[in-house]
Amino acid sequence: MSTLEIEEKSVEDAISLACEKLKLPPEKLEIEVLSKGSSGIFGIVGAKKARIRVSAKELPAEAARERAKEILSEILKHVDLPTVVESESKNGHIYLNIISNGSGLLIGKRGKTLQALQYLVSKIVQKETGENVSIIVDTENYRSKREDSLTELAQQLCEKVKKSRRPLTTGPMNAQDRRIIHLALKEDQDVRTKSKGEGNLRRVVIYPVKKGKKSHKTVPGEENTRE
Amino acid sequence: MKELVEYLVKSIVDSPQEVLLDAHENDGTLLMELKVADDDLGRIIGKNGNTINAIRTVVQAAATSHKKRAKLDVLS
Repeated sequence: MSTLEIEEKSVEDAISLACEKLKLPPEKLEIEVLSKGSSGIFGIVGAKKARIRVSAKELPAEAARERAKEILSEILKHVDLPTVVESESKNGHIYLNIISNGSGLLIGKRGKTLQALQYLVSKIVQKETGENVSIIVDTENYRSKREDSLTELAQQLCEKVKKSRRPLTTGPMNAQDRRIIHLALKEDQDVRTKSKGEGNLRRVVIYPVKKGKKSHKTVPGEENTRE
Repeated sequence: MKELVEYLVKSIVDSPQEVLLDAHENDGTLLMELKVADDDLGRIIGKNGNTINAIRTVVQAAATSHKKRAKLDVLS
C-alpha cells in the first residue's frame, strides 16, 4: 500500500491535496498528522508547515470480507463445536464457509440456522460499513446440494404439470430456494413459473403454457428483482 | 449464551450502552429477557420479526450444542 507524506500550510490543505493525489475521498484515507504546523507571528517568523502521512485505507471489499469472517467466528465461538471459517470473494459476493464436524446443527431444519447466521452477519457488516454487501454462509456444501435437489424437484413437478396440464404449487420456500426453481424452469417453453403468497408462506406455482398460444413467460428480470 | 446474545444485539443497535440482558435458568432452560433503547426496539425486532427470529435461531443452535434450551424475549 502506498504511503505519502505531504507538507502544506495547514492540515486541511494537506488533506485536500492528499485526496487529489490519491483520487480518494477523505473518509477513505488513513491520515496521521506528523506536525500541525503553525503560522508563526504574522505568518512570517517561525512559520511551520503542517505535515501529514496518508495512505489509502484497506480496499473496502477486502475489509468487509475480513470483518464478515471475524463476526462469524465470534458467533461460532459460543457454539460448542470445532469450527473454522474460510472466506473468499467471488463475483461480488463474499462467501463464508464453515468447516465443522459434519453435524447438521449449523444447518438447522431446511437450512434455517445457516440462513439466520447469514442474515445476522450481513446485517452487522452492513451496519458497520454502511454498504450493501452480499454475504453467503455455507457449510458442508449444503447450498450447492440444496440447489441440486431443488433443481431435481423442479424438473419432476414440471413433468407432472406437462402431463396433467394443470398448475402445481411447491411447498413454502424462502427467496433463494424460489429463485433456484424459477431458474431451473426458465428455459422450458411449455411451463411458466410465478411466486404466490405472502412472507414466509410464499411458494412457487408452475403453470402449463397452452399450446398454440404465444408463450408469455414471466420476464426473469421482473420476477427476480422481487426475490 | 448470554455473551452471544449481548454480542449480537450490541452489534445491531445504535445505543449498545442501553442494552440490558437478564438471564435466569429454570429446569435446564435459560430464559433471557432483553431490554433495548426505545429507538432500537424496531431495529432489534426487524421487519416481520426477522432480526429477532434470526437471533433466536442462532442462540438456540448454540444452546443445543451445550445440550441446553434457550428462550429469548424482548421487553418493551
